[in-house]
Amino acid sequence: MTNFDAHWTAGSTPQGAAGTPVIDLHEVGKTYSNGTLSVAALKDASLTIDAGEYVAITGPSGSGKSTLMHILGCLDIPTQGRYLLAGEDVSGMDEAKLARVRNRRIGFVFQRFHLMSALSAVTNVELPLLYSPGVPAHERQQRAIRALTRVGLGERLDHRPGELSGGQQQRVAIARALVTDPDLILADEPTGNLDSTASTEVLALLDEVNDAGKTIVLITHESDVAARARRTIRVRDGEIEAANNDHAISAPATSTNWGIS
Amino acid sequence: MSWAATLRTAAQALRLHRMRSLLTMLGIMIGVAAVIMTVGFGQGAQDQVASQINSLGSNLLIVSPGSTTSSTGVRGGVGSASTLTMADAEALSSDRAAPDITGVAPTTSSSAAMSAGTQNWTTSVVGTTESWLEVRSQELASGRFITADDVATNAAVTVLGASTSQELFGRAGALDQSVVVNGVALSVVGVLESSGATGSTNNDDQAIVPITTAGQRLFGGTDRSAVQTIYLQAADQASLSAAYQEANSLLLALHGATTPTDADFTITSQESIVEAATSVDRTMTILLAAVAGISLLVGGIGVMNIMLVSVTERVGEIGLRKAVGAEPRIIRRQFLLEASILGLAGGAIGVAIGVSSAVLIPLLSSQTIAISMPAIIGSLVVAVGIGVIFGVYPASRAARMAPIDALRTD
Repeated sequence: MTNFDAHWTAGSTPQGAAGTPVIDLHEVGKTYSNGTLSVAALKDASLTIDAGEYVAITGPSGSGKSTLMHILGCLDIPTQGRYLLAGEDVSGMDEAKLARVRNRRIGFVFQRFHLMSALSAVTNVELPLLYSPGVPAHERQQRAIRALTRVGLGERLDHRPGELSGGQQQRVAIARALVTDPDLILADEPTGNLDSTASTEVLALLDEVNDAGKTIVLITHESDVAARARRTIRVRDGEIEAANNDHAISAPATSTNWGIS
Repeated sequence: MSWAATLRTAAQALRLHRMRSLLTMLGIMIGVAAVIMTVGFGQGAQDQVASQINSLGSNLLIVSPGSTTSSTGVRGGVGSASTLTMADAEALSSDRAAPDITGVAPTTSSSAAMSAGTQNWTTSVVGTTESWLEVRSQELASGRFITADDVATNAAVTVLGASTSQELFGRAGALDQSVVVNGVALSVVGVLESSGATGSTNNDDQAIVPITTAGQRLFGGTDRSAVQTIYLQAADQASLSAAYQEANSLLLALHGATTPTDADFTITSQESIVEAATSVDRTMTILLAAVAGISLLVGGIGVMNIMLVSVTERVGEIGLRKAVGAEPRIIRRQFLLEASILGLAGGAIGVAIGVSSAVLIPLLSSQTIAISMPAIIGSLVVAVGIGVIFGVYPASRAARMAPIDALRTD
């Protein structure tokens, strides 16, 4: 697991001018309106995350943390503000364009893995490449095998999710997130469904991925998980509380400051 | 994502739920098989009737006395008057006046008792000319047919139908024997080949005599040159209409009629008879096929039902596919292809069932079932079309699903 090759690190800095932040949110807001009632789930969020960072987003449920994650993941569009993902303005994009951006720039890791139970590990990992233009079948398979080997599942290529442990399933999901060599890995409660041993295993893998240069944004409500990240952003009542981009803020300090339980 | 890759994904999804896919296709399978069977039954019955009528002869026009087209309200219907004569038949035979008419066979027909030795048999005695054999597409089993000479000389000769010969003479040959009709002894010069029954008429039970013999010697009557029916033959299908026109104008002129509505005769073509005889069968076929078509429609609704269930059940899969970069149109395409494959596969299996039944049932019963190519292609197209149409709604529901909503549920 130490021999991360050029494939992983190649995309670690986004294309375009060196130093372009992977995430650049400028006064982004999201208001859900239902007829007469409108709820601001996210207000004036500004945030910059540079290439190679490992950032945790925390906050209690209902804080707007999920809304922020959905906007960062291009799964939802903001109602105000501007969002530049790797220098590309995605705020006004339609669904089809957003799908292409997600495919090219973002690798998702979900709490419940979201693997397709009928498909082998390799086929599951191939899935994002299926929607990338111009990747032939044999290349898809090669890249999926490489990604699975890197997460330590080179021996379990043809296993179906049901034949793997929870930790292994999440590693398949991480391989799937990595296979397209995205600018950003977005992990939504990646240890939420795992026991402590498997959690440690998965977090160690994310550390390695970050060490190899990948930008990771991790959404969690567990302080010990947030502690793995180099920086913690706390969301409460729809606002980003650690609104500065001070890289020096350490996670434990933040959690103490804001009284995370 | 290419069509081929989407197709593989769709096929994979269907294979995953084999039992459900099969049950979904069942409605379409039964619908398509039913359409092919009912159309086949109907077509089979129509073909049977048509072939019987076509056995009358080919490219045939039939001239009957009387008229059905009169608007004066005075003239009677077909056959109610004997307005046709031998002179008409002769005129129609003219190569100059009616070049498209290649054969003319005037006939009279009366029922008469015949006897041969101790046997007697009542049959239809048909008076006609030497052209009859050709015009009516009949064949001789033995001997010869009546000749122009026989007609000219009122010869006492007859050609018997196969059953008539059998009834009067049994297995012993009828040839050169004699039969007595109304006191006149006729010499049997030939026997016709059996041609089977047409509906209620047995073509094999008749005796052919020269028309002059029938008129002058056997039956007499008020007008001895009267003719009941004139059969006309056109050279081919293409000249049938020209032959009709020639016969019509010639007869109008001969009968002194100035307008077609004054015509005291009716010309019908074989086609129009076939048309009339098969129209009931056709109506029946359309009705039955419509019922079968409704079952096909119900099958299509079944496809939509299952596809909707499938979309709801596969929310997680749809969400994941969208999250990793599937555009809405790709998701729509996948579900549309799944529905189309169900339609096509169900249709193909239905065709297999329908066609094999159409082949097997006639072997077990006397019912003929035609294998109708338009029905096969049509129902297959409809089956795929139903898959597509009833797949649109579930597919667009899947495509519209927001990835976050889809990922939330599991």
